[in-house]
Amino acid sequence: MSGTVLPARAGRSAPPALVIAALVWITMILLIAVFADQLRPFGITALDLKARLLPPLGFGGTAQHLLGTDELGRDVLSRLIVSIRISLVIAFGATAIAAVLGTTLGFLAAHFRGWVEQVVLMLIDFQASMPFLILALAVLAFFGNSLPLFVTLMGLYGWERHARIARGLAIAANAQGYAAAIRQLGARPSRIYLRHVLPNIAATLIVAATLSFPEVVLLESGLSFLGLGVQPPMTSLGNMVGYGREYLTRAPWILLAPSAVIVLTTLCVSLLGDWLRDRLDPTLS
Amino acid sequence: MLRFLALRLVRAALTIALVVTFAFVVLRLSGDPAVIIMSPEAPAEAIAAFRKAWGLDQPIWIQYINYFGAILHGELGQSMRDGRPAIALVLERIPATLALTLPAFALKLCLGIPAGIQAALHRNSLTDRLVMAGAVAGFTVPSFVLGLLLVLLFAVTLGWLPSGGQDGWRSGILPVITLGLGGAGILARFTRSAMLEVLGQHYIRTASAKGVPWRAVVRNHALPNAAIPTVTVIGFMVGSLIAGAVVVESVFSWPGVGRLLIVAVANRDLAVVQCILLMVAGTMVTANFAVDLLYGLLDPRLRGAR
Amino acid sequence: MIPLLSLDGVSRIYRQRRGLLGRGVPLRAVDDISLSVAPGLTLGVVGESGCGKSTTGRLALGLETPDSGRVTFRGAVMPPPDGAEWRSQRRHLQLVPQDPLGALDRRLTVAAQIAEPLLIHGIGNRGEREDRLAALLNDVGLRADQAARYPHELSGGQRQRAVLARALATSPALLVCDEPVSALDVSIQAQVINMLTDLQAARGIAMIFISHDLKVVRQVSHEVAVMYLGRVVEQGDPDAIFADPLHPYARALVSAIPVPGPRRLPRIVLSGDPPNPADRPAGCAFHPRCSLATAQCRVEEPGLIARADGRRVACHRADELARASA
Repeated sequence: MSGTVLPARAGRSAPPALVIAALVWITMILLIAVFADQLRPFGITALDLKARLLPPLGFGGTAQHLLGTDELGRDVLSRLIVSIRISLVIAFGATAIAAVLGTTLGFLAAHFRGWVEQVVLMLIDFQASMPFLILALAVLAFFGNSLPLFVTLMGLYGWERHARIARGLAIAANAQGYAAAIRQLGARPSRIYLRHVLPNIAATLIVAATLSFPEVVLLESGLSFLGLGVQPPMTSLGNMVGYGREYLTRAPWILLAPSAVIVLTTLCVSLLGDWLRDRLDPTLS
Repeated sequence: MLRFLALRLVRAALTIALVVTFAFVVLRLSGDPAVIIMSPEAPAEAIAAFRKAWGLDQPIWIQYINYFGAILHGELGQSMRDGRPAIALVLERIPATLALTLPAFALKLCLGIPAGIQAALHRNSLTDRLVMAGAVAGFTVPSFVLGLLLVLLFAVTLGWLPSGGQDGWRSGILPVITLGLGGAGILARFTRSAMLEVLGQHYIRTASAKGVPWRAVVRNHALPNAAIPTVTVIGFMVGSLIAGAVVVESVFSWPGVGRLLIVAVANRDLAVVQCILLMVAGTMVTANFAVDLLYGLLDPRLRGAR
Repeated sequence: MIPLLSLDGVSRIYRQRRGLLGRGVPLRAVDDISLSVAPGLTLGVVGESGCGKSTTGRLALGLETPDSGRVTFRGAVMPPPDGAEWRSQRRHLQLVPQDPLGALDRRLTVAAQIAEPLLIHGIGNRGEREDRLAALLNDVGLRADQAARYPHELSGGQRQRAVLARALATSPALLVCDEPVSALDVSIQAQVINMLTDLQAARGIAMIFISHDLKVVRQVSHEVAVMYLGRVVEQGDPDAIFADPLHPYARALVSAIPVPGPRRLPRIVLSGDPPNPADRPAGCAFHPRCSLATAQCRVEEPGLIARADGRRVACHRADELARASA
């Protein structure tokens, strides 16, 4: 309940060095994702059959292919840059869908109470008690794979976290305080929830999104690694690892570069999320 | 307590019902089963006959009830690949999966819980920092990356252990470590925060202020109370004994349920996927129910009311 | 005179749950009370916490629907909550809450919140709303620079003024003030009370003033109702009640008011457990704490009976008490 009680101007003590480093990495990754087309030296499907399985610069490779090439002579760096973009777009899209869906359901539960709330709570229980990977695999088995379906499916991950928060805080706001006062003034529910409750709980929801973002990255890369996520000729970080696995003995760099990016990105976003949570809302777990 | 259990049973049944509904909806949304199973080139009369035979010509809600009834009778359909009952296919894979997940589970417990307790008792010490760093790594390094790194190091570079397959106990070492390390990190982190929460309570301070030796305070007061939230996480891990190894089994080409699931998904072998889905749901629900029972034993407050 | 608002035999019963599937225990927060408010006048409601006075206020506003009896505003029964009719009726019925900080949105400026009812009910155009906002600020004594701040940047008295301005924005006919000054310093209480009564007189607003503070109630009210465990036990002219309370509970309350000089009434200290609405004693609900209780009081519930001076009292021994004090 104290989740809404945020200091309007939090103290300005500097974040720890680790968090600053995390922010630098995240910023870099975001810039790479935005300017992927300008940054990549080659096309992701451009073949260079004379330079197949070329190691990275410093391990016997050339400056032309900084991170080496794969079995077909495709530039690993270029593929990595484009993979970063695709993985991030999917993770952002999915996190946004989960946040909107969860918050909406949480508000509906808090507003109508009664059976609507029971249904939402049951769905939350269901979602929280089933391993999401299995549900996702089932859907992919039944429907086959396409990018929009895949993003939507990822968007179902983590909605229950937002729903729980939105419901709890909206009920608290309705029971006593500003939301009850606004209702009493004769406002429609849309005004109460969108103009008053949402801005008041936004910080908590953003923290929750920051915590589920790395999980979505891991989920996406896991499914893509299994060959059930992003499909060739498109590429994503997990997809690259899955492909690189075939060349583990001969060309480990194909796999190591995207693995490092996955680990560093999830690590940095988690660090940032933990820090934000400690700062803004220690009640959130 | 009885009411509490009855309520939990109802919830468990509801979750299973939801999973069945989920499978039914997804199955029906994905296309006409008659066409999928008979193949689109089949003659129209044959498809019509198939529909009649399987009750597909009836209203959707009757189909739903029939579907429910069939599942309650354990009729989970046949694999489309080799025509054998899906349940038999899944059951024969379970020993292989348990051969990985049970040792991994033991590893998680033996590593994660003591590490978490030590970290909490010596807060901000070097131990604490190492445990927390390990816990964060356990969460942020995906299992397929960890698994492949282990293969690269121990199989490819050093040549000590096989890189995959199921060939003697040595081939199980890397997958078990991969599974266990990640889970141990999560468990350590959880145990630590549960312990810290308990150690901050008044009764702990009261007990040590009364002059109770610190070891006794920890043993008699802190540990039992910190166990309550930790049991939830362990329960979730028990529930994922069958489902938790999907990725790792793929990395190490281990012929378990997870591998079967991936192949079934790739081939759209719906009966097998559905069977695994229900089996996982059953395990999860049973595990959650067991956790609730344990809760009742560990926390006397829960025995009465909720 | 036709009352602006009236409650006729109104009851409100909450179900207290014991356990998750347990049978609900009925809790009669408000039990068969009848009150009315005339235009421009003030009804004071007093009682200790848990006596149902806040629930009475919420019923009067139409925020809750009574389980029996009816609430009528301008002769019409209150529409059910959260419908379109109910929402548009809100402009006539407003609440001044006890905790102004909780009732204000901490992420919007005070000015934006005072003007919000005008937006909600589509009153005036942009320029008219700004004029109206300035007039409201002036009425409650807030400066424009204060109104441009956020709630937590204001003092308790300023926040209460802001909440009052918001309640007055739509020119309501009835204001329900639920302990409006109990959270404020005594020096500021008087300022806010004076401002409230001045605005009420100038605009002819009717008021239900809920408080546990008898002095304040006496100061603002034209009529007073004393509540105990969801029922009205004494009701009438404030001067008569405060000068010579009849019901033993009202006597205890009045005798507890600090007065300078020698007391006219001996100080009566209530004994026994504080009342629990879920476990209402049989007979007269007050009898376990009443020093005058008889066998009759333990079994028979006294009705609220009108007396010669216009007062209404619910006590079996009211006649004796009136004779004794005369």
